[in-house]
Amino acid sequence: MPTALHISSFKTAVVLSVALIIVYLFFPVTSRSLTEPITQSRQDYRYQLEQYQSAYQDFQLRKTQNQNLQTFATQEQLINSTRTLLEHRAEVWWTYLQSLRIELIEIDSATTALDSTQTIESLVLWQSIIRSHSTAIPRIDSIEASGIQANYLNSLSPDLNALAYQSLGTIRVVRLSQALVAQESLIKELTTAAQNQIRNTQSLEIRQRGLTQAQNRVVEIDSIIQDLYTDTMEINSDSYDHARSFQRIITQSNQINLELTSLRLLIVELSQGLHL
Amino acid sequence: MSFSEKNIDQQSSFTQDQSELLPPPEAKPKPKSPGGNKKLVVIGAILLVTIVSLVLILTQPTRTPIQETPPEPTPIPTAEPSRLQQSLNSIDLLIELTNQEQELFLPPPVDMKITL
Repeated sequence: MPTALHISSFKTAVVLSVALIIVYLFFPVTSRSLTEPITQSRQDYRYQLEQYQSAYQDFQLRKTQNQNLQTFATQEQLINSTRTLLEHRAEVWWTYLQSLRIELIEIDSATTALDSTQTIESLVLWQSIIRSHSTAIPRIDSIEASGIQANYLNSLSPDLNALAYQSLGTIRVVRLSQALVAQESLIKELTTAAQNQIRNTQSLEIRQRGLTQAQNRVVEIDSIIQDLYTDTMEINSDSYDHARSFQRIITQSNQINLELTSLRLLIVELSQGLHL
Repeated sequence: MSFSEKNIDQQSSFTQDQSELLPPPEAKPKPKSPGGNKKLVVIGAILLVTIVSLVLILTQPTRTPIQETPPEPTPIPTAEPSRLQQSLNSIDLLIELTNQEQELFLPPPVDMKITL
């Protein structure tokens, strides 16, 4: 006769089996949602930014304490706090550049005439410079040394900002180019479909005229995108104001986006009655 | 010794012999080895879990996620308008991405001029 202990063992086995089945069914879904590289890298960046903000509050507190008391202990606390702050600042920049790099690599794999290799290589180079700076931070042992390391990254900030704006501009311009390439491909398909499917000569001529007009628009927009890409690549630390240059690129890219939207409407109109 | 006395004596000795052969009436049957059933149940439980695990592991590579099973496409007699729609959707996505792109992802708001 099975005792209570036996029944309990069977119940445990059944519960374990059910748990295994649940894990089996749901684990792949969870892992898929967590492995999106861009989302993950941006989460890492936000986390590092929070860490930095917390370290900055602590630094301000220690700084005030040291200014008021001027003791050996408050000075030591300030040095430690500065060390932590500088480490987090470097990490914030590193994860930010990493996120841009991941995004550029992802869009670069798609078909586009624009090359983002140069920007990706610059990001890799600057990430290694930041890592090298990070290794010097733990050796800080005085207020003077803290100041030197703090100023080091500050002296690099024009280049870092220029690289950031160049990367953001490249991402935007490459996406515009991808949208245009997709529309051009669709126009070509519709042109072939029109030749094969429209029997009435007059209707065919009207449709072909419209498609030629759309194709000409593609060429014009492509030229504007190419100019915008050149402007983006010219953002560097020598620029008068790279933030303003970037803003100009954003404004122009918004206009191109409107052009692409309008071209899309034209394509929908021209596709009426055609089967792809 | 009379016949009856002899008979009684024989019966008494027979009863004595029988009593040596049979177990005492109050003796209980020998218990089976303690925990024998319990061991079997535990082994059975382990086997059950192992079999379930093996079945799950072996079937995993060929399994298709339940949520990703696409619905059976409804056949449309007139060509394939879905391909045009698909291209337009991908264009829409790129346009939308460019619209919302990067405005919230500007360079880190960190203090570059840290003064001590």
